[in-house]
Amino acid sequence: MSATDSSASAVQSTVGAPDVQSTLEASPVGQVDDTRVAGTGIRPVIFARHQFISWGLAVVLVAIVPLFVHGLYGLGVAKTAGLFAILSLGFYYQFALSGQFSFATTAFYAVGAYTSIWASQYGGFLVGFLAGIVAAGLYAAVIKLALRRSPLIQFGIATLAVSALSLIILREWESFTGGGLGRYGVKPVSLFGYDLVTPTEQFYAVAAVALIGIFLLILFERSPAQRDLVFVRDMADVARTTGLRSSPMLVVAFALGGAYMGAAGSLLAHTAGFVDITSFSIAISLDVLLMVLLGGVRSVWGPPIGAVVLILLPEWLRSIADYKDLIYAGVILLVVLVLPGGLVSLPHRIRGLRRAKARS
Amino acid sequence: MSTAVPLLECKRISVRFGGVVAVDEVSLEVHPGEVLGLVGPNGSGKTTLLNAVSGLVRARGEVLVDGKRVSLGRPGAIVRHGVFRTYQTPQVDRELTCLENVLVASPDRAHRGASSAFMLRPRMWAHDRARWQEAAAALNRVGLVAKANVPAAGLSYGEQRHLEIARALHAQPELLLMDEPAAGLNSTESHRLVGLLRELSAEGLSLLVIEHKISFLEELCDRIIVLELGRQIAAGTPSEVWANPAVMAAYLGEAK
Repeated sequence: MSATDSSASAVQSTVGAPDVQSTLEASPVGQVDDTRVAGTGIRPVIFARHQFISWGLAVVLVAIVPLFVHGLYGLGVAKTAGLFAILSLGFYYQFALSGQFSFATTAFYAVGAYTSIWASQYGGFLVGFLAGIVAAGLYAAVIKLALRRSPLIQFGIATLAVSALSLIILREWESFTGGGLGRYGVKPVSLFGYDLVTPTEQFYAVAAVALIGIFLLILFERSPAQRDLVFVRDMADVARTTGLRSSPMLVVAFALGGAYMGAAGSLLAHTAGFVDITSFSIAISLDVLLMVLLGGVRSVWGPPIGAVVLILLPEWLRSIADYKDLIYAGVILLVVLVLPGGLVSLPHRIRGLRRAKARS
Repeated sequence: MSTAVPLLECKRISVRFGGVVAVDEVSLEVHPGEVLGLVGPNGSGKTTLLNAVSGLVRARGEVLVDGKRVSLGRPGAIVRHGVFRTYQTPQVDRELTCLENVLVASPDRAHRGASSAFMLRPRMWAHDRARWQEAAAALNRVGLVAKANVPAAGLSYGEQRHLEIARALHAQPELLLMDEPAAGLNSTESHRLVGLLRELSAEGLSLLVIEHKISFLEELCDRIIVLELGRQIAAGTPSEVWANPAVMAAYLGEAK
């Protein structure tokens, strides 16, 4: 299937840059030309992006991380960055693609973790992992259905309440979550009977899931579902009079996001071996929001880049790590004010500034 | 024309906002191939009537397309019966390109969901490719094919109007409801639009057009219905309607 995508990419006509400004400046014009793909040869700009090449580069990059990062601590940080990358990818479906501002990230993360721990008792890691994904996805779908009439802000506030409530229920539900004591001795991540227990193996396990998550997101972006969803996001009523069934589409997008978060929860539980209720807090929901804003909402690379940078930032600035929250706040203000497209828009932004300079 | 089943039949449509009756038992018919004008002073309920027919506001009464009843109050219900609409201010997604803005209205609803995107790529591709070509043809029709991959934010106001029409054409409707399609267009653009609409009409598309510009209506419409304060006060050919004293009173009473 990816072969079909890349063969279409090979038929180059109009290379649309991801940000509006440079697309306009380069004024890519899809001329009628019958010599290309039967018909007009005009295709949506998304298919001119080389997303699968970028993905291949990311695979290589991830593969060599253990060459530069060593030890329990370093690889632990890298693993955490991977977990937050998965959470951020989930948030991308919910927020960037479908405009659903949610603080329930941590709830789906927790549901994924505890469900996975529970289910893995009956069939090992993979069963737990899949159960965590499904449970978190279904939970997200139920919440979205219950709140389907709530507009943006009310929805956000309601998900904040859902988050707090979910965490309380999980804390009190001792038979399922171990309550305040937590769950010890969680089965390690294992594949085909081989347990992944060393820091390097665990890092690779998390990174692989993150990369698969990005791959699936790219497949989603390179499909009619993405443009329909964006139209529903931006044009609500108009989309409905266009014949799009907006409500189911938003539920599916929200559930997909929840499923990603559930996957991250499962990986957290099975790589750490221990989970208790303090592993999950509303702060995680906020951090994920910051990561996506920081990385950028216009590209699938925004969330993972934002996650990696925000997790590594306090490590790089170890001497002032005590001021982590201050750094976060400063970074966000800077991005919102100076770089609304997030870090991924930086190259285009610089190019735009250079061009503006050359003109003046 | 009068013996055939009407393409669109609105029976005693009423819309209330609190105590205000915005549309008061208005009935109208659009016959296949017909161009019907809907006029009236500001606040006479034209747009509200259109919103009622397209399901955006709750309404009482009955709407039938080809004799089949369409459920009211559900946006999109009438689209499946081949009736599409445009808006008073062009409703285009500024972030999506022209092509994408058109594609969302594709009547082909197969393999557009997440499951096809993840699992049935070859089929998704086959359907989507066909859509691109049809959408490009629709853009070509309104003269925007050269801007297919330009985000709608980069279009002029007049171009956005034409983009909305391209989207409507891509939906392959039998009847197009248009809310002031010439509003905000200069006389050249407006003239071109009349030309396009007459072409479409000649190809069998039926139109229901809300408009203020009298010249626009005279060039285009077979029949005109006049609303005032939510009620129909006149109907007939353009010349009949303009000669009607009630119409003159409604408009002059409105004049500043």
